[in-house]
Amino acid sequence: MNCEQVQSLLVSYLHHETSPSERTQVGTHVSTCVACQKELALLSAAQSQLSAVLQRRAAHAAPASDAWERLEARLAQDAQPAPSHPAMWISRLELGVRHIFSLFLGDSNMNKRYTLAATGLLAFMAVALIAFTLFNNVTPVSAQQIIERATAAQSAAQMVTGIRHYRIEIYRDPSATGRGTTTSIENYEDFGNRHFRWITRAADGTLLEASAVDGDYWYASDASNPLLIRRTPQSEDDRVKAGAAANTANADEVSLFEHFRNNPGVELQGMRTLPNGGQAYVLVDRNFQHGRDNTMPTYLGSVTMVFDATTYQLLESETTVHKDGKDIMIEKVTFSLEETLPAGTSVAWDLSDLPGVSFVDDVPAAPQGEASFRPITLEELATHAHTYALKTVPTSFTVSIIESPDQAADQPYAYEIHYNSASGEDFSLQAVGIMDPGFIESSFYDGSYKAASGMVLNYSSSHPANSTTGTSAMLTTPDGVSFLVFSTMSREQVEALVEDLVPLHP
Amino acid sequence: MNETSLQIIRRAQARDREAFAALFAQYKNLVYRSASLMLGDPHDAEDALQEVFVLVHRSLDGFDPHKGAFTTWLHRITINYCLNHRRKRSFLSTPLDEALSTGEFPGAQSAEDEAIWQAVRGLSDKQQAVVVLRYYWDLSYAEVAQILDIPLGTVKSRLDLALKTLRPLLDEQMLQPVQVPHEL
Repeated sequence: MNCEQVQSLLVSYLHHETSPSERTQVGTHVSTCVACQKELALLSAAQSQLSAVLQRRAAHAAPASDAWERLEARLAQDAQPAPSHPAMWISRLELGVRHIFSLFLGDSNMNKRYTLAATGLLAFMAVALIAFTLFNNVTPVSAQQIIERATAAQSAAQMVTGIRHYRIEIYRDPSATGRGTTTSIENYEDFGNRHFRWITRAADGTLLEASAVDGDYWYASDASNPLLIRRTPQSEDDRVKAGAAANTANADEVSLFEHFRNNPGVELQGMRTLPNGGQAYVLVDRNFQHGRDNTMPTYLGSVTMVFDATTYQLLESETTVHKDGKDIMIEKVTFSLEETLPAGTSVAWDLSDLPGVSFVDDVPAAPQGEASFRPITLEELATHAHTYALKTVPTSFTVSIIESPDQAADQPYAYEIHYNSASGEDFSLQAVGIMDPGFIESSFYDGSYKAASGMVLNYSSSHPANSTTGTSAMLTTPDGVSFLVFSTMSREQVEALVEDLVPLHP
Repeated sequence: MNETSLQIIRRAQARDREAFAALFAQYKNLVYRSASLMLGDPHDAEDALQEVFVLVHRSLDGFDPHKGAFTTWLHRITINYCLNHRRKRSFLSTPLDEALSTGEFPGAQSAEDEAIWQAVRGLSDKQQAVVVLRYYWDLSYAEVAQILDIPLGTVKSRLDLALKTLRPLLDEQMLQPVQVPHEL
């Protein structure tokens, strides 16, 4: 591994979230590379500082003393009879549309799947509405009737099987500058086998983000390089989780429903002539902001939905904000394609059809052909100066020692010594050489422990004293050689082990 | 999950008011603190606490302890609420609204803390979510992935990106001389 590769793994390395082979390679490289040592220490300190700021920030955050009383009153109110069906339907439709907007306004993966469900739901609603309208030959004359039919269509939508495929163009200008950007999303989803594929592109076709699940792997484009697709084996647990996603999506719907339940209802604003000469219904939902006092609500903007008057397909939506006396469009969503493909239709769920992408496994196999880390014995280690090991290997622990292939001439012998138990506990030392003056004190400042031997542990606050995820620290021996210490154990247990460390070389 | 918590949840699922009250008492800080870090405003955090527990009350029947920890489920609902709220706020608020937003949590914050805090707030929604779950709640990548329903690799890349974004500011803070209070 070179410095660039190592530095791309340092955050995961500090979190003990690298694979064993990565960990060994990073540790060995760091032990001989001053630049990466500094980067590691700076990252460690930066993380500690970030964690400390969040802890201090949240330490002052406490719920109001009457929080439970308010909640109880709210739950009692909630137990009252549900609102009339039309009101419920209005909210439900708002829910679906807003749910889609929530995706387009942000791009959290977490909501992608939920929004996929909502988008698909709308697609099904549109399909079902066609059937409903053909069968009933009814022309809705009010927003409420449109919504009633849309709601009725939800039941029919549940019975549709196949692969949902839709393409959506989104214009966004969140700051209302008049200079927004357009992206397009093309999704396929198959709830039958829980495969999905989600692609976002810029207006010029450049890939911005891709993610997919094909039953065997998760795929996700790298946050900083969309052409790099990270592939992670889908565990059995992932599959269970995918199965449980519907429950969470439902919870999400309920949450959104709550958000919009008290909004003004959707109104039928009028008709619009489409480019193909057809007619469309325009529904509008105006948004107001209510204060805590009794002043008049402030108009904030609106969401407009356009439905094909013949098919009831949702064609587009617009979101505006009211600024300087004007409504300024900050988002426009155009549904350019919605279809249901027969189950079993061939779809590249593994993203293999995307041009220019490369794939990387999240848990890579041991690299071939690279410099290897030679296992050595304790006796062999003892032939080198500045080497240390536990005097007594703890019961049920095993010891393994590896020598770095890159030994710097001006640094002490580079090696790692690992003590592992069958139950998963570990205590590891990685020789990192002689640190610059003041470096340890300024980077590992979350407490310190001095052993009887004169060795000093300086803790990293990335694993605070009460952390349940282990301990990380820099250990410095009386002769000035430092070791990174990583352990799943508590600080007290690590301190006890450090007391047992002895120099091997006379 | 310990037996006591599971029993409380089962009683709450059976609409036992006292059990739900106990659940609220036990987990209100989890919800409130995440919301305060995600939303940055005490009024919004209070609203989040109410809305999330209303949602928990309604959805509790759907919680299956065999499929995951209650805290994972609760974290997911909380973060989900906060992300939705942030999006709604982002497109419904104007710069004037932002300027008039004076909600702050009590407690003095140093200028350095405030600068870092503002930088955290400047992160994207998804970056801030992983930062809060990892650096405040000290959750593993696997737990964060489960809560956010994203692959492990995405957790890693978001944390990397978040830290790279914050890094210049954090480095700058680390170079500041440490203020040692004088003893009189």
